[in-house]
Amino acid sequence: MINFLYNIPFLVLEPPNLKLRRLSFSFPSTRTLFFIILISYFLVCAGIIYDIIIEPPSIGSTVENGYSKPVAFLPNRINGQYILEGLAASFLFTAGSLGFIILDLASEGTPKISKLLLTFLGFTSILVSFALSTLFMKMKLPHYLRTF
Amino acid sequence: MVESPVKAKNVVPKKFVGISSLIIFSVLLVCWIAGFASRLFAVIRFESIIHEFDPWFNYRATAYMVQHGFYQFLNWFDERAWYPLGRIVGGTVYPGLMITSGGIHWFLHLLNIPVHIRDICVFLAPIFSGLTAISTYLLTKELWSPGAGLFAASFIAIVPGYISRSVAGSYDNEGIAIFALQFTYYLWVKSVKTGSIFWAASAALSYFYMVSAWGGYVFIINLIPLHVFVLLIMNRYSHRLFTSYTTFYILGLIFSMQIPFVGFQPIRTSEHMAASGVFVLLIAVALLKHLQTILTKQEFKKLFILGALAAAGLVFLTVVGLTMAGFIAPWSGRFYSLWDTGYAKIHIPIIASVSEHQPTTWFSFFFDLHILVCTFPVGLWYTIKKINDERVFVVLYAISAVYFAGVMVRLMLTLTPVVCILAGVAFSCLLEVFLKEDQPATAQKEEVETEEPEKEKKLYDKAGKIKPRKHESAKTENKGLGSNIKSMVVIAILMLLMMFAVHCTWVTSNAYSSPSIVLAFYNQGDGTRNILDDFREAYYWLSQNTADDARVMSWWDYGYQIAGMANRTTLVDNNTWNNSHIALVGKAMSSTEDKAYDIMTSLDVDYVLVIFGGVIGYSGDDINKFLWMVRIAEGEHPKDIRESDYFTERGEFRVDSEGAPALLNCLMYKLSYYRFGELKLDYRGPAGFDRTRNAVIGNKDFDLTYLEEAYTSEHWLVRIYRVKKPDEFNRPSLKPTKRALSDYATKKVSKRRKGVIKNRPVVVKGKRSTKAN
Repeated sequence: MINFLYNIPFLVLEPPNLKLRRLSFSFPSTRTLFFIILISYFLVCAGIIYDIIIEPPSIGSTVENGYSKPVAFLPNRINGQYILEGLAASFLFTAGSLGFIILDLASEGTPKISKLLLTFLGFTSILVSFALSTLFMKMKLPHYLRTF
Repeated sequence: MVESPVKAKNVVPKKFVGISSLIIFSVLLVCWIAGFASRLFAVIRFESIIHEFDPWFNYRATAYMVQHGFYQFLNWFDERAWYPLGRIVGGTVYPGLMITSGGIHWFLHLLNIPVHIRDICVFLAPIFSGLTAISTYLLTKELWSPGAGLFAASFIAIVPGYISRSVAGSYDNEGIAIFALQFTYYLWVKSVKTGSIFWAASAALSYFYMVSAWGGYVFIINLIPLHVFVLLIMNRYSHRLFTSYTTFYILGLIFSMQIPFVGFQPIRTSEHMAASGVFVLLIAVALLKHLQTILTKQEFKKLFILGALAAAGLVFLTVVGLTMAGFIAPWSGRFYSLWDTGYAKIHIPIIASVSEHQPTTWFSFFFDLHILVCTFPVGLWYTIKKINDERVFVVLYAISAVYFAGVMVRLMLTLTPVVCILAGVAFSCLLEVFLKEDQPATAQKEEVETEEPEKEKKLYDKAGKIKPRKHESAKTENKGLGSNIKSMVVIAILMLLMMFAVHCTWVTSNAYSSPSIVLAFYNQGDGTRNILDDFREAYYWLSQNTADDARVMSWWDYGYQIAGMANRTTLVDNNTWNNSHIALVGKAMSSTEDKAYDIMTSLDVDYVLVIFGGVIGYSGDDINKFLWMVRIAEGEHPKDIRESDYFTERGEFRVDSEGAPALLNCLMYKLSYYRFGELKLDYRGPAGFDRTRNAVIGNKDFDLTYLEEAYTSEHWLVRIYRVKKPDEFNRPSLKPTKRALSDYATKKVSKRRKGVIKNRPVVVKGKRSTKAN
């Protein structure tokens, strides 16, 4: 009975010859998952939500001796930023954490020479990112780590 | 031992058990002491005093509870707030904080230790920071290893992101709530691991404490169901999960409904619906799993698809139907603004006006977390690499907390604990790699103690001494790096940690230890310190020189302080529950004096209090907040107040002579700058120079008609005005004897009286009529 009802439309219509594949959802591998998270972490640290809501300019400028001069950092404002400074700082943070991850990868079984290289790479990126972010802090907050 | 845990989780060789538990104990103790000590800057520099705004209300409520008892407190109707509406305090407050400090007070007095309730309130948050460190240790131990746990505990003891809400004197809900949060998560993870009803019930009890302490409990009741849901999706269903979640959910639901402020919300608002949805889903999955064991594969498949579709449709329709029928309240504005980030900016200016509700910049991340901001993804990397049931939880916690911290500066607080956990994992794994090579005994203790700079300097020395020994032994090693490199890396990591400790101490000392009711500034030349105590001076004046029932109008920021310190009735305060009432005050502040007078008489205002920072250059004053008053007023009274009127034609907000006329004549401007035009701050500068906005004010010569200056504090920071009664203004004051009273009646008083003719000479018999003029 049901089959008959189902067949009614096909008395008129001719079914097309289709090959449908079943939709398959596979869980992303841990590395891809991690890098997706890392990228979104990068964006959040860059203050992307701040940029969307407050809409600051990508870079600031001051007038000095009649000429306007670009300023990358909005100084002395804890709750404010320009878009580019946020991206730069967040890039440094991410580079630092990639450095740590590279250190970890270096300790896993790879030949000795690349191990050495990887360690150096990770190590320098940690140090560079740390030094530069301290520098950024000083640009943002001139008396950072100083008493009075 | 402590730092080589991944390979041997909790399996410590027997002869080390004693020493390892000694290390754990002493590190946690040092964490507690260091965390407590670094939160005391404010007390040492100033005095044992309650900070800021909200803590003043909490303190007042606690003092009330200690004085009148718990049940009186639950029934407390505060007629001194929100005049003329009043506030039901017992039903609109999270009582956990007051009960905690009241309990401590009661206990100490039971032992005959007389401590003033204020001191308990001041030191509550630093004490709880130690408990937070311990519960973070426990949680990290469950998730990874004891070594990582010790790292995490040391981090959370001093990290600025948490210190910002828990310095001594900052007596706020968050101070105890972070402990409750971490402890609930620990018990939850424990219960998922063991599947025992005992742990699940403990988690529910701890959740109950959290609900009683802070509105942020919503984070827990969404995160735990999310964890369960993701575990289900990942096909990690187990009986342990079923037992722990069902127990936790039912008990937690019943417990949370016992708090008067929460009441029936857990079954009626959208924020809590995810939890019940997951509860139903979990039961459905359990049922299916059971059927799977009974039925054949074919039957099961059919049943599964049919059942899943029907169940999903049914749940969806039920939720929609109940929402439409009004049984389930839609998302409240505060939560909605977390998802739709532009929402608050457009619709709820009162939420957007609070600076801690602003979205976060990169600076706050680095300022509050420093090096941990880099190691956080590393810890995530390790946990994702070796995922299991409970690590799924920490990954979800991390991702959601990062997002929320990006939306609101304030929610950095919920991000901080998970960052500490993951950074602890990262450092522990790293040091394990770089320290493992030698005899494990050589360099074991250093990594677990990272509390204070001095300590780390010592460690640095120690690691340096070890170096040559490693040098000799490592030549033969063919696997792994040279020990030179390894020790360099280790030293560099220790240096980083030392810098972290220095940063934390600096930030705590410079940024987060200001009570903000006592201001301090340092002279550029000799570094001496000046204290501005204007706020307390003015509040004390209010309490001594005004009538006990006087009504004080001010912007809502100062409501709690006026109530707490001056003990006077306020119109609006920091519990911003009634937007239209605040808008009315905003309207009064932003309209002209005579219009404002109508509003003030209708609200029975006796005094108006404004904060003015132009003399000393204090940037958080009312003129700088003024645009928010205008915006909030405009939201309720769009016909009378328009924000654009207060800007110049070029869209600038300025107080000098080019400023918009509406601004130069509004009440707030006049109250702030009254008699300021005569004041010369230094000999060279012009009179009436505003140091905060670096401008000479535009409207200097004006007088107040309806108000009179009652009090101005030493540095003009607080100015109080008295609102004149209707018979006091606009007419010269004359003594009653001199007043010219006419006896001329304008209407007939009684019917029998004869009519009179105007100016008719009065003739009295027997007297000569005299000419009046």
